[in-house]
Amino acid sequence: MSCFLAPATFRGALSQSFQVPGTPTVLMFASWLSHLSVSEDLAIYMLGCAYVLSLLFVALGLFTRTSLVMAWFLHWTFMNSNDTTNYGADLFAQVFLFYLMLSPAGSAWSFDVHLGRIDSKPTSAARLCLRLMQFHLCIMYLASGIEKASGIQWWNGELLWRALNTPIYKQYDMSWMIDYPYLTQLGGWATLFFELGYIVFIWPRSTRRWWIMAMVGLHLGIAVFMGLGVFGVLMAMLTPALFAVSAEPQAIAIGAHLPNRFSWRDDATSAALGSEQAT
Amino acid sequence: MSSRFYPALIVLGGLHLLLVILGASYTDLFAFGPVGEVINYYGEMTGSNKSYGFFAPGVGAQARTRFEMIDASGKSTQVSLENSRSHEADLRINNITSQMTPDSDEVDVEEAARDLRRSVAASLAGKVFGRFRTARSVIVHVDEFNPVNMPEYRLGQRPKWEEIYQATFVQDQAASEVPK
Repeated sequence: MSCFLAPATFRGALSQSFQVPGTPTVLMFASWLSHLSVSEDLAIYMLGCAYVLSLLFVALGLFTRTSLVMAWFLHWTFMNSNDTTNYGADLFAQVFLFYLMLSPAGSAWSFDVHLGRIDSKPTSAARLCLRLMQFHLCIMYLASGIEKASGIQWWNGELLWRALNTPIYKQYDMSWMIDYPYLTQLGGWATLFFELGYIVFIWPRSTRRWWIMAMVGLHLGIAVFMGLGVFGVLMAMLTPALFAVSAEPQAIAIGAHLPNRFSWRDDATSAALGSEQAT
Repeated sequence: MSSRFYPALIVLGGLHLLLVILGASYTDLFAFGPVGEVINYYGEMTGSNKSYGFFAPGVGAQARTRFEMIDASGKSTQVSLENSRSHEADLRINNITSQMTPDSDEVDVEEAARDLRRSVAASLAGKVFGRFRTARSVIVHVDEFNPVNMPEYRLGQRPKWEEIYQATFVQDQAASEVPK
């Protein structure tokens, strides 16, 4: 909970220095609730609890769409409340909560389906959202790779050396790496290779598994060796979740009623988008 | 979803991805006037206007804040707002502290930087006063981490913390600052 409530570090006029202008913030809601004699502290805890509850409901697939709207909005609100405390994990959570909110996320493995509240039939919206998420991830890795490649630290091995020995990230004594400079250099090159190559090699079946394993390894390494647990685990899950599953729904015949160019059976589109069955 | 709307949704999806590309390439949407402002707001909502320069081009500056609490008897105690129970929470507090480093992107105007740094220091000191009721004054120290590269390390140099800012806050009295 302390992570979620970190935005409350600053209050009053100072908080405005760290807020994103014109966006909903925790203190804005606290101000509204103060008219109901709710203290600021209690308001912050209420919002924090609502956020955690909404995520729990999303995980269970219970009132999934409503819960996702609430989770996304509260997540965005917390992010706006103190921009300086945010980092990559928050950004990716926001991005993918937004996509999930628009997608039929509750149509599989959910209590909503089990209780008969929603239909589990595949929809064209599911495929569109999956493609958007896949392309977004490709753009992200390409942009990240290009920016990294522009810095000398990623080429000469300094990056890993510094990152693993900087107090805020340091988890273990990695000073022994000074005797093996090629290790840090190789690590930097490998990161550049897999990030820059992601947009191309994640699609063909023959190379996809290698990129999935590389990305899982890279991000679990970040979680273990740099202590960025939430970021590492979140990112490690994204590539398998988006690329280790088929974009083709099991009930292919569902699309038979659609015009051919938008049909699930459109093999040309499938091939162009790289939607081979998972290997 | 009706198939009638599917092409329109594909176009909207494409525009959304275009915004992702513009965000990743640091395009200033405000340069496009009011339309750009609206698009940027949509980007803020969806996270599609963000860049992805994690650890790029290199490891950024690190800072830490130390608090020296002095009670009524004059006894000095070192305290911290980072509780080490949650590394994630500590990271976020550290991000706030980094706003007080002189080369922070957020504080590139010297006077504004001084004001912001003082306000942040006062706010953090206020947190310490709130947490330790016996405190009569709190001295805020901000240190910047000076790393060494691999060749320097081999020559015997070691990374170190260097104090870049100090401010003393006394309850019900004005603060005295000692910028380094």
